[in-house]
Amino acid sequence: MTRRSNVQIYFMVREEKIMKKTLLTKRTLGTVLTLGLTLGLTACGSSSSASVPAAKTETAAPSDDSTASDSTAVSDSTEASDDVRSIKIVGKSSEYPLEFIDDNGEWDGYEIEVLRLIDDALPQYEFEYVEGNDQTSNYTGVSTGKYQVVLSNAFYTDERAANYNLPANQSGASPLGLIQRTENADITSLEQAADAGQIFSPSLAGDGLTYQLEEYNRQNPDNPVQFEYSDPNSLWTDAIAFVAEGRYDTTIFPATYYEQLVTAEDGSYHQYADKLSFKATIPCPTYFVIAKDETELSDAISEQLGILRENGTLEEVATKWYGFNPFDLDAELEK
Amino acid sequence: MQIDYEFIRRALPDIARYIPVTLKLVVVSFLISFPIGALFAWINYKKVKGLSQVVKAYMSLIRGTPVVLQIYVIYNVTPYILASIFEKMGSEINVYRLDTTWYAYLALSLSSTVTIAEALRAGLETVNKGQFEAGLSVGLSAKQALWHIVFPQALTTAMPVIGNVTVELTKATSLAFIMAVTEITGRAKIIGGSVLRYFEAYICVFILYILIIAVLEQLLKLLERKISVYRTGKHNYMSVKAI
Amino acid sequence: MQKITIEKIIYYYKGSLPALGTTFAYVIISMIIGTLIGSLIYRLKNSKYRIFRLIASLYVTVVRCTPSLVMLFLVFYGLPVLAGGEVGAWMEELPTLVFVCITFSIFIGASSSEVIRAALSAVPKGQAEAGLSVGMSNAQSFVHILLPQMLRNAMPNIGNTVILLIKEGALAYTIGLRDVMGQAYYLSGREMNAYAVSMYIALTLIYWPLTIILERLFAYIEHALTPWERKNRHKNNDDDSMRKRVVYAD
Repeated sequence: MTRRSNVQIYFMVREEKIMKKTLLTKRTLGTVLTLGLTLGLTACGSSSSASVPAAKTETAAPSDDSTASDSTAVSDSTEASDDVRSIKIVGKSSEYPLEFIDDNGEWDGYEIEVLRLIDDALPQYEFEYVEGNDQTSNYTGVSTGKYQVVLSNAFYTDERAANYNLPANQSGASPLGLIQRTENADITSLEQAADAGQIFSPSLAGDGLTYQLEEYNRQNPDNPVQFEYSDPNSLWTDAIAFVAEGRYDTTIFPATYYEQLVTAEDGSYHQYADKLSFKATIPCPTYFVIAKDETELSDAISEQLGILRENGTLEEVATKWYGFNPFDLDAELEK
Repeated sequence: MQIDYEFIRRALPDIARYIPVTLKLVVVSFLISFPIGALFAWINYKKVKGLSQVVKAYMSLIRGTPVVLQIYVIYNVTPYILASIFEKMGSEINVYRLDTTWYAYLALSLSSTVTIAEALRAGLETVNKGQFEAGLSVGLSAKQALWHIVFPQALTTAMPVIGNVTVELTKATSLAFIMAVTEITGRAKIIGGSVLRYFEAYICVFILYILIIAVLEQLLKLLERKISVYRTGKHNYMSVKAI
Repeated sequence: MQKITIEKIIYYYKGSLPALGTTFAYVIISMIIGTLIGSLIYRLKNSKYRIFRLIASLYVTVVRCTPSLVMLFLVFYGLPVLAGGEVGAWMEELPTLVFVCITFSIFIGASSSEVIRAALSAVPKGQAEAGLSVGMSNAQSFVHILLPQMLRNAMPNIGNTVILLIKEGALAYTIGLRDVMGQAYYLSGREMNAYAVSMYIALTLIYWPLTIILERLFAYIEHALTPWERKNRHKNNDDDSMRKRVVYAD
């Protein structure tokens, strides 16, 4: 099957999902959308043919009423536990291998696989995955109650601990290190980078990677690392090219991704492999971030994570997605 | 969710400290786009061969693409192009050490250049041709007639649009944080991110933009009144100003 | 610098183009609802009561001063919180598209009130009376005489607003809308943004021609709505487009 048709199928699935979620407005919206699209298509002339599949699904969707019961279960935390409660989990749809929507429109990835295992063990909950591609927005959505859980390979930060529920047990491990150009390969810690006066690639405000730098500066006010804040979600991957091309000196980066993006032969940034070096030096557990008032959910997830860690499942799943066991590396660095 | 009013109260002054950055973005971008816009207007007005087509294509491109897209292109592509140019010239200048704010000025001025060019050209069209000749007849040089007679009149007609451009520019600075320039929106995201109170931080930004632009509009009104002494005749259909 | 490949450009182009459906959906819905809000604001602006006039001008000022990015965020997260209770919970369930439509309806509501005023004031006063004098009712004279002329007057502004909306809507990817921009970002993110420059080129190749087509289309509609001016119309259409631009900026 060609790529294009994959995308189209993806769209059909996707649109259908959206429509299912909005029962109350479904019919009207469907009609308006169809009307809109018809007008849009006539307006667009030559470039219109490609939007036809989307239009078809939208007209088709209103006839499907079967899922009425799922979406009525809204976030009501007092609901009795024998009712199956739907939990909305938001994540970026393109964070391979962490969480992503594949060509068939299905969620997959390390965190998703772990959550599915947990979901199976918790009959009182039903996890529903929602796409949200801006980290700021996703976290806000969890504090406003739009979602119950956010996925972002989240590190511990004091603020997250204060504003959300971080389960006692970690969901993954994401050892960190510095990406350097080969001539600076001997600079591997934040302290050395600060000593050398290196300038870090801009960091996403409120992000876990940024927190590592902020925390270091808080503890070392006399010898801080130099970095600026910025906005796009693509910052941390842009940083690979920024460092390789000499635009910035270094960047803090998760080992799990470095392996797969730069070291791996087919990695998206393998072209820079010769210019760069990387060494993991900072251990870093990751967590699912759960809404503040969802203590019960948080405890349940935490308990399951403990079990999965205990019986080796987490490490197994992680090795499958990352190609190595980050938990081991983390434990090693901890020493 | 409960709105944390205490946070808003504390964050507002902190974010407001970055108003100068926002204003600097507006002013510098405007100063870049005005002369270029005027030049483009002149090229289009005179229908300079070759140049006029290039300018038109450029204007159409900028008008036809979202500002965010322009920002990404400027921020992610220009440095590499500059670097390779400097490298070829054998220059020692390190492009990458350039303050990123310059990319912001450049990216933000693209759209306003186009709008200003259009407004000024329309302004030029409305100035009666006789005005220029009248200038010549009283002994002014062509240059003088242009600067002292035609241009001020064109400006009066274009003024409402230029006011709009400034307002639009101010709003567009909210995107500068994409280019690592910490202005008010950026600051709001940083402190919102540091305590994970993004929503409240955005409310602060919302309040600040309203204040900034409200003041700006009053200033523009004053300016417009000042400039309007140059207005002649009834060519003021341009003053159909939205909102 | 990242490698730019034709294959990647084609891949992003084909991948993002179907999302034009979403783009048109919010543009059309927002235009319709926005115009309704705009008519209301126009009414309020001309109200006998000071308080209504005040409300209308406050609305317009506030909206005019707010960047789209900020408004999108406030609407997406603020509305459900403001509504609270069951309504709020219900709103949480709505798709992103609805919030994008609300946001842009708010914007159009402000600018269209002015467009309506300008369009109406350009119709000579005698026109409505002429309608009444041949025995039409108020409503009839509005629909048959004023409305077509207003529409014609407003067409350049409508065109500009539509184009502006398509471009501003690109920001909605930040709250997860998959319009053309959002879809391209999703696809690019799947490849860890390694081909972002190819994606930018693909997006330019979608947005630019689309804008040109729409500009032509609206110019054509305006022309078609103006049978009485067709003969001695301005030859140079650019002059007209200048006038259109004036109001567009909002």
